[in-house]
Amino acid sequence: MPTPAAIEFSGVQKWFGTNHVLIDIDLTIATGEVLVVIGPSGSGKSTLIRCINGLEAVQQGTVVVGGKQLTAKGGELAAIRREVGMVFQAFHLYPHKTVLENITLAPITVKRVPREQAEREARALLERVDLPEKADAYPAQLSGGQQQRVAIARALAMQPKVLLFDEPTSALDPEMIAEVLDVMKALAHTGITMVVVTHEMGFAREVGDRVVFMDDGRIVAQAPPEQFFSAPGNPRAQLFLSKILAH
Amino acid sequence: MTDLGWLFNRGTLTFLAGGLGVTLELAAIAIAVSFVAGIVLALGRLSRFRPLSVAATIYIEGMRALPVLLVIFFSYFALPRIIGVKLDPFAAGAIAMSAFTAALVAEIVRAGILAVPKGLVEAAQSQGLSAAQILRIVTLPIAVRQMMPALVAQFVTLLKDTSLTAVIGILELTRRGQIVFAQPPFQPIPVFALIALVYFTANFGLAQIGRRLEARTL
Amino acid sequence: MDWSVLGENAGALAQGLLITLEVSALALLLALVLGVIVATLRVAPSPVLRRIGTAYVEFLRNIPLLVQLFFLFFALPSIGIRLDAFVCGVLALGVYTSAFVAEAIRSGIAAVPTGQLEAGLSSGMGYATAMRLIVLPQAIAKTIPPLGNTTLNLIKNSSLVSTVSVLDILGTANLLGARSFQYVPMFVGAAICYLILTLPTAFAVNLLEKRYAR
Ligand SMILES: Nc1ncnc2c1ncn2[C@@H]1O[C@H](COP(=O)(O)OP(=O)(O)O)[C@@H](O)[C@H]1O
Ligand SMILES: [Mg+2]
Repeated sequence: MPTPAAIEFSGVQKWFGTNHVLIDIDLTIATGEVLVVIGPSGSGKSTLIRCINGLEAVQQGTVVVGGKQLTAKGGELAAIRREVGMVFQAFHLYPHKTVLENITLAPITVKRVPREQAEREARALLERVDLPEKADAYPAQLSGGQQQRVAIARALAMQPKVLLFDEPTSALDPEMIAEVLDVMKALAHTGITMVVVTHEMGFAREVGDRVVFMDDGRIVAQAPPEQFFSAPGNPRAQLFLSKILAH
Repeated sequence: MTDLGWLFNRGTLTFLAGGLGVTLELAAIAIAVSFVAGIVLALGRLSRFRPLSVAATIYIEGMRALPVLLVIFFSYFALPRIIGVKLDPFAAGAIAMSAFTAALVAEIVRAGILAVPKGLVEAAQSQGLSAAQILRIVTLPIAVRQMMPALVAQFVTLLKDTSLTAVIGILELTRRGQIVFAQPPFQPIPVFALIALVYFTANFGLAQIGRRLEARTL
Repeated sequence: MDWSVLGENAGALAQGLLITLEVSALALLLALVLGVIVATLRVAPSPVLRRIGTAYVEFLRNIPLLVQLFFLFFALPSIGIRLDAFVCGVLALGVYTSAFVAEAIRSGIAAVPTGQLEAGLSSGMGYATAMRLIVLPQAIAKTIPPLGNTTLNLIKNSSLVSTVSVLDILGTANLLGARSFQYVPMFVGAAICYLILTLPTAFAVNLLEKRYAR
């Protein structure tokens, strides 16, 4: 029996003004799958994953998440956002809230979880990202790697079925990348569906189920990591790989 | 100016202190009202609903282009004829100061809101917070922190501008000063020195509070 | 409400507008001259001069303009100095505004890298010459937008001269409003006169702000 799809793009088109940024996107992501999205800057990776939680609206085609279709209307969107967490390149922690408040904010205000329970769960999440002692710190007092781990805990606090990552380690100093990737790798083994835009090929190889390569708004190649890295099957992908692997 | 007993006696000082009380009361009312009204106006101007944003823009830009003294006179002499209700000087002064300052606060708030990083709003959206929740919990608190210095400067201006309500007969500090020096021994200079000192201290205190608030917000 | 008073008194309001312009122009001139001097004090190498400059700015900025105007008009005669109301208006407005001009220029000067002054000094110029030839011209560019706003405030603040019975725009509207009991039309007329002065100024300030941004 095939696992039901967590996310399904069918015939998606998107423009910014006259700029056609997503072209003929058909993509099915299975429940529990870890999908890695790579491609040159400006190829549409961020736009693609931002369509999954409605931060961007598509103009043609459909995006179905957990059986619910994204439309311009609010109802389904709110339900989808409750089940889809997102981690940003620039963390975007609320600067005026403590770490604990950052994590409990959405459970308390959106899901109406009682404060004590939300805080108990938040502390457990902080254990999971290895920052139990930072509960009362403010984001500005944390390093980038610590902030990103808090951001992951914040996303997990809503107990999402899907987690989106948009270049989560690109803004980090090299010595902090590993601590964030370790948390993400641990997550990948929990059965949560993950869509990860990243150029960390080690991460893709180790926990990725599939790699999707985007170029100029199209998905031009996709394959399981081993196969993709040995033979991407597309000259642009080949060129891109040789560039980033040279680093 | 050898003996200043006519000024530094219990009766006169109490009279002037009462004037300071009225000045501070007027300023406090105008600060409270203009803060709330300024936020509403700023949101109106930022609204995607055209008629609302046009109306808010006209109000804000119109007020900002006019002298506050004109607004005070208008509120006292003309407004009662339009609304058909007689206003006592204090009510007219409070309305004028609030209505005028609201327009300036609105621009400060708008700048503050526009300066809130878009990513923070997206983070809140992606967690399922509603637009109203995002505004209340994320956007406004961050905006208000950023605009503290400008707001405090505006409220210093407001405190000074309350002196203008003397001309419609509100018995605030400046007006009471005038009353004191219009009596024997008719010596304005010590009176002016005293009320100037009081205004200076009040404004300096306000700026100090502002600095403390700034420091507290990281 | 009888709007015909507005038409009947258009001439008087226009006269008031001229007075407002006159007061504003003269006060602006005074404010610029004093402001430049005080700004120079505020960035002078001598701490004493700097303190004098700071005291001047803080003193004038924190005391209401009306109090300063009333001081000139009501208090100076008690020591034998009797000035015409118009002169009092120009003096008070000019001196008060000079504090804001000084502040605008000081922050402009502060925005010029210190290396510029040092380069001037090390090429053999004196402090005054280096200031005049190198620092001030650069500071002025950064100073134009805040000075524009200060000018706008000056025009609006000029309405205070009406409180010492100068017949500027507001003084005229007030007088004619009281005479005819048609306050609404007269104040609307006054508002239009102020808009005629302030809207183009605000527009120009916006343009300059965009041009000199960064
Ligand atoms: N908010 C936006 N408004 C207009 N154009 C945008 C916007 N966001 C992205 N784009 C454009 O869409 C294209 C894809 O961008 P993006 O999805 O950010 O690419 P990637 O994440 O792969 O670097 C680019 O050409 C970019 O300039
Ligand atoms: Mg991107």
